Amino acid sequence: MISRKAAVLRRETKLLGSEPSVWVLFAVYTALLGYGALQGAVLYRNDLKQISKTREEYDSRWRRLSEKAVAATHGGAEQVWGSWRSASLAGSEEGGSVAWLNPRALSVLDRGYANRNSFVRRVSLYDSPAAPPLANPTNVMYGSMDFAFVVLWILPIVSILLAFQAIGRDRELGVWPLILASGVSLRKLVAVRLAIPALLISSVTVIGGCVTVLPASGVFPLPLILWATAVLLYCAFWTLLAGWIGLAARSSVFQLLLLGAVWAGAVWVVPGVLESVAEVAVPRVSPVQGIIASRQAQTSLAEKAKQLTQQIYNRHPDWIPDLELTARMNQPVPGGPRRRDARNVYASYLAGEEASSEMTSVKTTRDKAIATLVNRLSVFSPLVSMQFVSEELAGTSPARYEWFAEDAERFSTRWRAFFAERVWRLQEMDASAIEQRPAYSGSEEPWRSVLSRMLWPITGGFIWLSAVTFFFMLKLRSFLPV
Amino acid sequence: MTHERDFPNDVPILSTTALTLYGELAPSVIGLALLSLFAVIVGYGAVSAERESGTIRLLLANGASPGAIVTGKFAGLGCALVILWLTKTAGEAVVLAVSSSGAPFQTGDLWVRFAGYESVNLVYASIWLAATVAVSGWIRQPRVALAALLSFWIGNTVLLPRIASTAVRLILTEPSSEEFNAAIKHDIAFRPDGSEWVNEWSKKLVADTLRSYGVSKIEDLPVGYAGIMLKSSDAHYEEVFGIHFDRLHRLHERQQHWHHALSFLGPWIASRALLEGFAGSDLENAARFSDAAESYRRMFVNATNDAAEHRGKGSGWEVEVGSDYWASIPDFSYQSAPVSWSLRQHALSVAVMGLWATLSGVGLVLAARRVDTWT
Repeated sequence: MISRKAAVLRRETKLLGSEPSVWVLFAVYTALLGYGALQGAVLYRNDLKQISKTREEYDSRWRRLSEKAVAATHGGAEQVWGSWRSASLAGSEEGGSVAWLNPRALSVLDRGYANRNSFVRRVSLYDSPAAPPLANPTNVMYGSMDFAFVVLWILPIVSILLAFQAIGRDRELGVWPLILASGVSLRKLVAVRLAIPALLISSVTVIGGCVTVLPASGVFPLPLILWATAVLLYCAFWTLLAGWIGLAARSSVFQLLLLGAVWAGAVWVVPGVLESVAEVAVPRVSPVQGIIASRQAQTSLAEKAKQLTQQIYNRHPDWIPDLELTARMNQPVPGGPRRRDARNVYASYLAGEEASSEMTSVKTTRDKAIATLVNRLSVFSPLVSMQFVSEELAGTSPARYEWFAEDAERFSTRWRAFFAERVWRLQEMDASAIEQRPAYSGSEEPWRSVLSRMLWPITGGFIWLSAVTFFFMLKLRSFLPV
Repeated sequence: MTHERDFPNDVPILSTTALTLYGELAPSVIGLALLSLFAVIVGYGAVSAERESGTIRLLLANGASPGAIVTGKFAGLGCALVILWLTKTAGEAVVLAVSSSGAPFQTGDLWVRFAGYESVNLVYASIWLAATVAVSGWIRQPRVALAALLSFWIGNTVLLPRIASTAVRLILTEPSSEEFNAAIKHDIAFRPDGSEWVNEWSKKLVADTLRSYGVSKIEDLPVGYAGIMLKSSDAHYEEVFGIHFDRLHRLHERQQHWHHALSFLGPWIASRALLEGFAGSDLENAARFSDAAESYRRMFVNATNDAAEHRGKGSGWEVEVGSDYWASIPDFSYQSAPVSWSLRQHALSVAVMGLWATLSGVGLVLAARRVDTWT
């Protein structure tokens, strides 16, 4: 029995290997994987370099500030660091800080949202902006071509081409009755004909993924095993789908056209339709609305800032600076740059933030609602299910960037709290205060929340795989002689 | 409206969900993809199926020349393609008419642009149909012809644009936002020799201003020094910002040129670029708008600085302006580029489309000769 099974396996492998088109297909697929891998490795290195460069730049900036502060304390030339302006300057972009998100090793394979987001976020007393990406919009519009793209879009084509004629070709050539008469176990024959290509494609993909991730990151991340499992199941889905349609439709041309339509629908049309559904269901806050809200906030900014300053001093009367200092501070310096009271600048910023907080809150709520909806809609597409699982494992999903933005905002609150009191007090920054400034240590989103986001895509993936397995088995049962 | 050039925030393509990471499903994409796919599906067996079934001999025996067979197939299938194209065009015209009615912007050459847009679709579909009939004439088995055509369709529609856009980014990498910001800040703060810009500038400006007005103190100036100072510092800011933004735009343009150059491998990129050009949604139009907005910002800021200079006095910073000042500031108005300008920007794409049209025409002629050899 074992030898017979082995003989079927050997023969089918030989048959597959004797097809030049199979080799061409594998060569093209491997080349595309190689391209995706190379690109991922280069961009991953760039991300790491950018993070370390930015951190170094901020560190050296603070070393300079500390030196100036020490010099000022000892009556040196840098008087500004021993003055009321120092807290405002050190807390703002003159000093400032940086929050960063560590790219996961698997981001080599799946760039996801990394092309649209930065792994670095500036933190300042006045603002913690997410710097807008400088990517060429046309490039973004055409879509990325990373390793994950090859897996998500091209692996299905290769699986289809290798599996759709598992039986159909014999039937078309007229040798099917001969095979039926030979007494070969047809279930085993079909299983072998579908399993060999699927295993080959999965193996090439998984080995390619490991070979890319390991040298680029130097570690073997645990999510790689989960990613490999997902690739295997994704490949199984497309192979079974091709096998099912191959059994259901008689002409090979019709099978190919049908599978082509299914492929185009699954990878192209359905994600686009889901995007439109999400946009209609939860309309985004348009940039124009944001601009109008911001302009409206500007009109009464000075008055609001004054009220806010008053409220702060009512709450903390001990923070009110002495009158002599305030008078000295407001005295204009002829020919020098405008001396703006740091408290006014900060109060104006807080007033502006408060005025536009309603719009910001609406925008954030809508963005979150869209993200949740899109996550749930992933069950409608096997590709989107796989894409979302892959992005979550690679740490390049929009949700992880959202989490990073929130984490950076938490750090920003600490940063502001540290400098704001000194600004209100018009207090000097000495070297020891500079040393005590809050520092971002970098943190990682708990895996539990990552897994909770993966629940819907994983469920969707299993539903699709179960459905196609069921229909394939049903067709196979009716197709084979009892 | 600040003293610095704004970054392009809220770029629509960058705020879409993760579903569009691998390419958006824009109407232009659907149009090009469907028309070309239709051409392949109806045309792959045009000649090869006749050959396989043996009916080609019947046609030739009845006096039809190979050239007439190939041309007839192209013309017949072309009629079906034109019907599909007309249906699509009519649908899009209705959508455009409804959505542009009452639009607050200028739509003077809207229908000229629409005509150009749809012509690109038709030319693209015709190239594909001619190529399909040519391949069908060259390859004897319809199944192989279909496989070859679908492979090229996937390569041209799916792979080539993405490979092109990612490859140019690897070769011509744009700076990160952080690097870009840091470089601007550095160039604002320091001179090329490493000295701090503000110290030298401040001293020289005070001395020059006092000398030109013949006074010894800033307080004695008959004009507002704040305005003079802001004008001078804004000029420095504008120069630095201008250098860095120009550099970034040039980098994007170079990326674009390389991207378009790769359309010699397939007509998709050139066609899409032309569609974007006609729609006014291409990089060139975006850069033109961005420059116009920047010019307006500079005009506004200069007018404010002028007011601070001429309505102020001495070293004071506070200047009150009346309604005459606000009336002197014109509203921002933007005239979109004429179609001829867009076409000039995409001369390379026009040339590439012309090349592909010629190649597919030559393919038809060669296919006719090939059919001739079957007899």
